[in-house]
Amino acid sequence: MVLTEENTKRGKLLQQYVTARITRMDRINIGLFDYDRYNTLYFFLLNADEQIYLRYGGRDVRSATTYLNLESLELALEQGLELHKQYRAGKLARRTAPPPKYPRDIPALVERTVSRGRCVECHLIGDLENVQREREGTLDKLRDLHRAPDIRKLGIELDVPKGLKIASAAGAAADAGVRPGDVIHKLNGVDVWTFGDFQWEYGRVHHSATEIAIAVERHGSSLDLNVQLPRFWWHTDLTYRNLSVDPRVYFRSEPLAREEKRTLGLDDEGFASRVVSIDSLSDILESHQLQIGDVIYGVDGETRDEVANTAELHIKLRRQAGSELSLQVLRSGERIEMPLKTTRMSFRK
Amino acid sequence: MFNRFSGSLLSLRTPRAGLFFGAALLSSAIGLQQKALFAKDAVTWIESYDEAIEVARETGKPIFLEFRCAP
Repeated sequence: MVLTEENTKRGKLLQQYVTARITRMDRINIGLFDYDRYNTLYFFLLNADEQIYLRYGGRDVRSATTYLNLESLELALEQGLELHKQYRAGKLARRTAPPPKYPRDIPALVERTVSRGRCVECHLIGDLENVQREREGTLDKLRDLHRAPDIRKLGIELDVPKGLKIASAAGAAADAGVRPGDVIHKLNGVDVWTFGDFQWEYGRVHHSATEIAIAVERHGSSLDLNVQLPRFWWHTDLTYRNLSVDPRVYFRSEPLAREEKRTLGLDDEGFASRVVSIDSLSDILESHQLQIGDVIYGVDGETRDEVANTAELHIKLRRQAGSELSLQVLRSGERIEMPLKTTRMSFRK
Repeated sequence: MFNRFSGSLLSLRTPRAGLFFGAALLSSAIGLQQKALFAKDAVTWIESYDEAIEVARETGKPIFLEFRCAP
């Protein structure tokens, strides 16, 4: 099997590029090449002046490859060539580069990897940047953990091989006027060429935002549309980033519907959630004695959190690793109190 | 008529045969099998970022930069 044959379309496109594959981040300007480090693969198309034309990558909780596709990669390669032509002709505005930042600038990363001569892997940068932020008191969990919002929460399903072409629109996107066949080309005024571009810009939208502006191409015209953001639009399942999320709670829960909360006599505006899985480490670490099916309706007497729709998320966002809490739990109709001991991830590869 | 590239790239929107990235190809293959795979790659991959910048400057080509874990 061959990755790229010369006589294929992709091969011909790639031969018009200088192709570089980076597997160690030690000397990479991670300020310029910032991206969600939990992508398995990520590509940048740029020029020798380090102006990035576009990104190719992005993922969701379903899979690391949901939005990776050879056809859309070829499309991105073609777009990159055209943007390069425009740049060389002086028709493309130069972008201001972000401040440079290197792995050596993150003390927590230096301690764990650089100073030990170990490989600086992409996901370690993501993890240890957060560890460093926590040490410095600058960690904003909402911003720093939930980096890649899911466009499906807007009701958008993409025709993945066609890049940012809409396959179907429902919910907030449909309400805003997005239609199947539209091709998104701007988000909040910024050009986006690929799903990677879109997810990057979307991830930079402040979590308090209530709408985004997108521009779509439809039948040869450009339309500006405002999409109202649903509640918790930024929230994604953090399971695939589990190594980077402290505190560790060793269970997963799912939110109860408002009706069910009412039926159970719980705060219907609260974060009551049902335990759906228990990590076996909870026994070893004596973290808790929750059982699948338990409903956690309170944490230290708190039942609501404006940004958390589950008890688990409330704890992850609001508590420090190592804190000991009291859970209010509904089990088989009986309300019980239960201690929970959270922990810090003690080992990172 | 809206055209992001002043007419030059409208053809990019035309349908093409879809080929998915095989997870087995790009993320699951390991060890020697994967090394052999990359050894057959027709594209020459530069493993130094600085060298890629230098070559791009010399040739006038854009850069296709891939970040990934070691094969």
